Amino acid sequence: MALAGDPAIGAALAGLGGCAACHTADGGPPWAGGHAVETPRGTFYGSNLTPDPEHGLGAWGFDDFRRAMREGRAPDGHAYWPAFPYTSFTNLTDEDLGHLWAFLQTLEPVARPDQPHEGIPPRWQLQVFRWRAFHEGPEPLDRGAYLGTAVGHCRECHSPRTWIGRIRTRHELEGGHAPFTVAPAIDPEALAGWSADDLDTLFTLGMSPDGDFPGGGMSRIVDEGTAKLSDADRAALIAWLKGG
Amino acid sequence: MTTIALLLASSAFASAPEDVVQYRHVQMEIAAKHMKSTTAIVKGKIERKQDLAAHAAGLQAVAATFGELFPEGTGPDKVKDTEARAEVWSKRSEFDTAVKAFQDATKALADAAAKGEDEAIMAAFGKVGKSCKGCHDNFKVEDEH
Ligand code: HEC
Ligand code: HEC
Ligand code: HEC
Repeated sequence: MALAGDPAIGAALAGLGGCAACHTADGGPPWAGGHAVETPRGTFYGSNLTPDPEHGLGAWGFDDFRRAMREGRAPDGHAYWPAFPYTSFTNLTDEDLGHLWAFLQTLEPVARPDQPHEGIPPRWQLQVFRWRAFHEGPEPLDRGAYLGTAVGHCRECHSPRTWIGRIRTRHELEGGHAPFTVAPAIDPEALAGWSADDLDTLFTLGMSPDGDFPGGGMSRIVDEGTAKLSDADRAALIAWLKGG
Repeated sequence: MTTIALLLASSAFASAPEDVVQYRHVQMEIAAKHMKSTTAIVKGKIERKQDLAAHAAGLQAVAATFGELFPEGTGPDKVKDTEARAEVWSKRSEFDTAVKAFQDATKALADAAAKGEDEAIMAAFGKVGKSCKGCHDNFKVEDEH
């Protein structure tokens, strides 16, 4: 497929999607993999996403990337563990996948081998096949929901997961188990005390109404993601959060 | 007379670590209130542009002495209620750089407010926010939920 991705747009999408946090080891080279994502079902390490031909995505084409993001499948056909939040990314449009892919091409290649996952339960591949069987492909979403669920997987941190690592939709946004730290609930009820302006201040300046600055993974989502969005996109994200 | 004697007496001894921590909390809350007021003004929620200089001066006053409020013996190993990380002391020169960035940014805001130029005010305001956030990211523990 022909591609005309814009790396700058891809960078903002990557920031909102928090890719770098999972795909960079503590103190390691950026995007070269190794952050431990701890789940009740095992510890999974984000892979090397730099264009290194041996250890990264250097040998991949766009179609490989699209299959990984949309179907959670590797080029050799095996299913990824959903600690990689492709259950969110599956709704990304081809256009935005093109921007992300263009951005990934601009990274410095790093020859860092992927770290093997730990504690993978038996037969988990079956569960992933089940997800795929029931999953109906990209859903049409309004802009705010798209930014919050397809690109920014806010729910990955702000809601609990089921034992196979899928999101428990009933508890969506009610506060959950963050891969980094415990994230507070951000459903409309929990955010009742926050005006749209308060949320805009958080998403641009990083400051919450009490004058403090949320950390624990959120800080980076703000700096690399929400603060880089266009004003219209930020407003759409806020409207979605407020449930309107 | 008693008051003076007390002041003199206290200067001869170090303040209690708990009191230092409480004092720096209050200083941070003052900074946060000035930031909130400034946010409301620069976002056009309230027509009080004439107050910007006062808020900038308030922020500058906090920044000026903030580094002095973290003497040895007031870290998490000694005081239960502090949200300062041990790195304040183990990476002191980086912490001092963060304090300096806070001072520079609040001065830039004061200068811009004095001139009344909207664009410079917005830029400096963003810089102040970055200086708060940058220091918290590295030197303050995250809130519990
Ligand atoms: C919550 C952590 C997390 C986030 C956020 C995340 N990933 Fe991943 N990603 C993973 C993990 C863990 C794996 C490894 C999965 C496996 O091997 O089963 C992975 C694997 C991948 C792969 C497959 C790589 C390979 O070598 O096979 C790609 C491509 C990828 N992620 C892209 C992205 C992009 C692009 C983003 C942001 C839009 C992103 N990821 C965000 C955790 C994450
Ligand atoms: C990597 C995990 C992570 C992701 C992804 C994430 N957040 Fe957060 N978020 C947090 C954590 C942790 C906090 C609390 C931080 C603190 O208080 O220091 C937080 C705080 C917040 C708050 C403030 C809530 C409060 O009560 O203080 C809002 C609002 C918020 N996030 C919205 C979002 C939105 C919208 C997205 C998606 C675009 C998102 N978050 C994605 C981890 C995350
Ligand atoms: C040089 C580092 C630094 C800078 C700059 C900084 N802070 Fe802080 N802040 C801290 C530390 C450290 C604490 C925790 C202090 C403690 O608990 O002992 C803190 C605590 C706070 C608190 C919580 C106070 C409480 O009562 O618990 C707020 C609110 C706050 N800061 C707001 C701000 C604002 C707003 C700014 C910018 C205008 C700012 N901070 C700039 C380091 C900094």
